Amino acid sequence: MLHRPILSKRGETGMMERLLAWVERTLMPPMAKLGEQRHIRAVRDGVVATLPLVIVGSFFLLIAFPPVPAWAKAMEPHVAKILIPFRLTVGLMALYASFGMAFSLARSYGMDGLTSGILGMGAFILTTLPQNIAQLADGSPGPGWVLPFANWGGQGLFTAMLVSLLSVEIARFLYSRKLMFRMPEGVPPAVARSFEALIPGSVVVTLVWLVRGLLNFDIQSAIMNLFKPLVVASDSLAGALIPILLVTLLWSAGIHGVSVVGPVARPIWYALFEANAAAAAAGQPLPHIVPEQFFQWFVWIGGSGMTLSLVLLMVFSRSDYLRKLGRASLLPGIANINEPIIFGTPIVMNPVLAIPFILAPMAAGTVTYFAMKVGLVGRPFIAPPWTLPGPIGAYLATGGDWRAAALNLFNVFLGVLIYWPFFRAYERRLEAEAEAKNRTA
Amino acid sequence: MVRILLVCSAGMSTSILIRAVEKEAVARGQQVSVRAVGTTELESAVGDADVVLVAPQVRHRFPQFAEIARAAGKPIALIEPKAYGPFGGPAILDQVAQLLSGS
Repeated sequence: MLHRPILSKRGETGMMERLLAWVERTLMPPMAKLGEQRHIRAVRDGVVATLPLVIVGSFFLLIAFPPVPAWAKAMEPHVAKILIPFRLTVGLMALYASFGMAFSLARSYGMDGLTSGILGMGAFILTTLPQNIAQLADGSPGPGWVLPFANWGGQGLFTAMLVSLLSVEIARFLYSRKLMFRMPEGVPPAVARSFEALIPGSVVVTLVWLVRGLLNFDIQSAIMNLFKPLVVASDSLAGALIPILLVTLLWSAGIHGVSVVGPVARPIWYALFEANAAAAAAGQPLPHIVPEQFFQWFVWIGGSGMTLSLVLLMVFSRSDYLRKLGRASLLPGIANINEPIIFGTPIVMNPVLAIPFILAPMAAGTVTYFAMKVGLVGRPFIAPPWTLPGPIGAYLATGGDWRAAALNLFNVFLGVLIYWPFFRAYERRLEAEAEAKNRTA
Repeated sequence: MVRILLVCSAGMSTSILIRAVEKEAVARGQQVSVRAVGTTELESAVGDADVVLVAPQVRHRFPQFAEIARAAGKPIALIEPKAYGPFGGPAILDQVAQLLSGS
């Protein structure tokens, strides 16, 4: 029996308590501060704002390549047309984000969001050289001036991030030096604002043009190469397990782990995701395993810490309180919402339940990584909304792989096994407490 | 009518709390309207609220929220972790009453 020693042996519980205290006092403050840093916040807001377009756009991949072979055959002649929304949403993710990031950063400085957002987006677009295609290969007239947007998807997020945030910083620097046109009183504010942005605009546009157009320095490739090692390193077992460990440690101290880790990791996850989606659209094998959907549909089942497994145990608990809470939390849990469980059970600062809360997702992450590595289960390349039930989300995220749904259920089962002894120990403690209360009452 | 604004990470988990608070308000015969928003929506929603309550999992951002609430002249407080769940209605209404009498 595993559960008895955990309560009776002082040493183990004590160690877990020390770990939780360390998380709260040492790990959490700098991490929380990092998550609140204004540039990181701007990246988070800008990237998150693209999510609706990414979710909708990625579903066109599923329509173009449906999981049923007969349908897939029927779609084949229309694939190029069906993929148009996908190319112009997921494939332009960095463009949309460049506006959002500059907007959010400007607002955090109390600057005008709209003009700054447009300035940031312009700076990003200027990193691409337009091309004049007067004639097509077959001799027919071409479309004229076009902008190649191969680097405007997830891989381009890093360029968008650096260039658009830099443009806001330049504008802020110029404003702080009073380098701007001032309009006399009485000029409508909207007009005044657009004139105020003239000097920052000319500096930013000239600067990016100098580097990209005149010096012909390929900003996009340089930045992508700079971040490449980070992206490659993230697509590994360590890249899967480190975020899981950080998120669950933070949550066990009561802090929304994904909202702290996500802003830093999300540009990388998006780059991995977009590479997979692009490969799927091109009919090539998917290169990556660990985009955000890996965590969403195979690890955070029922919410961070894989608490759906715990909820299933609670639904049948002998403790009145746990059973009531479990039943009330079952539907939210299926929709991957678990704050009631985390704070109600509670898991926060609970040395017994924090152990499986960390271990179960680590186990699920390891199993899933290898299952995808060896090709037992398809890799994610579609972004379903995160409140869908786990097996459905896993099925959709992998473009309709039933084995992904099975893996999702297997992971829930694995979680039940890992939570079980700790849950029983905690349940007994609650029962004992309730009994003691009854006796004194 | 007391207008309560709940803030959490995405406005999802607090929507569970809404029902708990509304149920308790009916039991107490109080008139309340409860709204849940994500952290990015606080600034635009704070004007229509009488009191702001912040979910415990975003407490690391509390100083930033407090600044927004103070600018709007609204009382703001953190929800006790134990009150954050389907059975938290009574504790939250008590907290609201306390906040409003304090201001």
